[in-house]
Amino acid sequence: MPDTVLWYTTRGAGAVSLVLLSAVVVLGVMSSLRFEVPSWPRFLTTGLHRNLSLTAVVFLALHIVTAVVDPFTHLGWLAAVVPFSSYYRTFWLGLGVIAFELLIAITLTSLVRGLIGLSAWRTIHWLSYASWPIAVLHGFGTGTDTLSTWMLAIDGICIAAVAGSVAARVMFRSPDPLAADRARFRERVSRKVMK
Amino acid sequence: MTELSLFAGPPSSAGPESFRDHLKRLGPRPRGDRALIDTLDRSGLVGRGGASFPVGVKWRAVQSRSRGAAVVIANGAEGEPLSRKDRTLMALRPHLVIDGALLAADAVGASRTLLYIGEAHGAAASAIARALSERSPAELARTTLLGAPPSYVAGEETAAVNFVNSGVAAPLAIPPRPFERGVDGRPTLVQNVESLAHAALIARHGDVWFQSLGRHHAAGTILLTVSGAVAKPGVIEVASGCSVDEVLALAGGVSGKARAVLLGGYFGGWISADQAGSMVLDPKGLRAAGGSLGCGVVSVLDETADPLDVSARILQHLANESAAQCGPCFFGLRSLSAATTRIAARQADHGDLPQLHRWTAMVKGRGACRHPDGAVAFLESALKVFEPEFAAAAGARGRRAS
Amino acid sequence: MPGATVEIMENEKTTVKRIQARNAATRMLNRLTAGLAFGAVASVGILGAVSAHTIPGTATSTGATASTSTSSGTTSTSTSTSTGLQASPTPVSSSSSSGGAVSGGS
Repeated sequence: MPDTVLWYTTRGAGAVSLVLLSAVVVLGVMSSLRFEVPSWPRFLTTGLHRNLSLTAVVFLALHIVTAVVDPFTHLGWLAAVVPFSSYYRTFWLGLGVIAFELLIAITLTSLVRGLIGLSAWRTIHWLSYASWPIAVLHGFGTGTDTLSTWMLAIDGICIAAVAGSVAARVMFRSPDPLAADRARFRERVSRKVMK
Repeated sequence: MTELSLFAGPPSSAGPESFRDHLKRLGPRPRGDRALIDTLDRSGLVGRGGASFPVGVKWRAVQSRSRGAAVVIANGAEGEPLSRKDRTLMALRPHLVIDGALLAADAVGASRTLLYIGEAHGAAASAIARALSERSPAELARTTLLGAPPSYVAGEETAAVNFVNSGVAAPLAIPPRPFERGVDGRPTLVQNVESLAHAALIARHGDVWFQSLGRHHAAGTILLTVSGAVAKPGVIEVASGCSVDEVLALAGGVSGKARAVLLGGYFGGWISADQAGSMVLDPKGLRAAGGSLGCGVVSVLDETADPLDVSARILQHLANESAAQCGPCFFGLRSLSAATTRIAARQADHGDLPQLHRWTAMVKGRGACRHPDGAVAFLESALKVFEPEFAAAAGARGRRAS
Repeated sequence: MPGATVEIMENEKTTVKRIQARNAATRMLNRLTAGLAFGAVASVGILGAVSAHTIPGTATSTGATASTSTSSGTTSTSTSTSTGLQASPTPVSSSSSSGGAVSGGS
């Protein structure tokens, strides 16, 4: 196949990955807000969040593999896993590697959440708020199509969606209805004096 | 007649048995090693904290993960209001409990032994403290005494671990279970003090001896707290496998006419009096019959008492003792308790009784820990055994129109 | 958990409705997942084609020629500032060696 097809696939898959990951972040925020309407129960949000994130990983893999395999990039597999090791666009490509590896950590810990416990999982999952913007910056800095209108439109929609959902999270975070009672219970069962 | 094992020796009026008397009667503490775990397997000893889980299996699970750094927690929190057996055992036979804890520590390879005793159980705590001071400096150095908060869930095994780790006795979601990762992330054995006391005697006398103490296929003796409408309420030791009738006779007989028996405590269940009498108190047998010995509470409700009022107050207590860590438990038990209280007060709304049935199905299995499940199981047993009373009370016209 | 087992008198109608709603939502989840996955595959193709149209690269067999973007309305960068993995070849007056685009460095 002509090598340019690899290149076009890299770019296409990169854009699609961005869209999917943006949707994943929005769904994640919806999940934390416990969004629910009669026709859309909570497990639909979490199920779609999980399914789309796995889908995104697949397309991200396609994006990375086509980039490395492309004979013209001379990237090598090492550049895909060691940040800032590529000769080409060292910084911006490196950001992509970081975003990718954060995503892998988030995905893997989610798959084995039962083994690692809830707090460890939650700590790692917060890294998604780092992974997504880093991925966007990677796209700006490395992407061929950054200034193309269509790509700007896609970027605009994704950024607006994620920004909007984060704003909603900040604004509509309902106070934990159990907070006061839980604190009262904990006070009652806390160690007073060390024997 | 039951051959006493735990309460063999001086009578209860003599107070806590001293170390000297303990040694004179039973000899020095044997070695705790892997062979002891095999002996416990063969003895058929099951946990006395409520779950009736085989003790040997539990010790082995910790020992196999141990690498010398495991932790043993002797659980004497006893947060169940109707149970007094653990505090009585600790107050009268503190050295049996300490022996058992140290044996467990040796057998599973633990570097720390913690005695987790309900801070409200004054006699028990002071007896254990004094007993510790009578032991050798080496044993004293290995053990730590901790006061468990007087809450219902403080005795739950993850709550005990959490208390040691963070100072807060709130139950934690599993996984991981304490035997995998507990105190300081190390494999932790949380064992009821009565189970440890039995182990201390099995280590001396063997598994065949323990088996012989029980009736038929049951093994060993069990401690029960008998309360309610009996002439002589209190803690008694009986052979595993004896019947409820025999137990009530030992407690001086039922005063009045029995309506129902609460077996297992607040986390247990009601049995109607006509069925209860012949029930055999053997942890494994009861479980096969769908019941549970739980923490050994046998409480008799007589016909003059109001079963709805008693049930409502128990449920209220369980609801109040929720750790408020998850919605299903905190809000679910609160709703169930409110509805049950309304029915008991003959002030029920029209939908209260059907709602009880619906909500119990919704709460079950949804909690972060097993507290709501226990409360729901209790309520379901009340709804079944006292069905006529519930129906009559729910249909009664109170001040509120339906 | 300790406790006598009891038959629960659950309201059958509410159970059935609950289960039906849950099944409907599960079907929706499966449909959305499949649809979005299929859409993603299609989009890779579509966006790949769009990207090819806006900033094409050169195939290996042709000589290096200037091939800056020709479609109107796009603000594709000139070849001298290569922003893609595969730098567009700089316009050359003399033909370069046969081969593909020069691998770009920044």
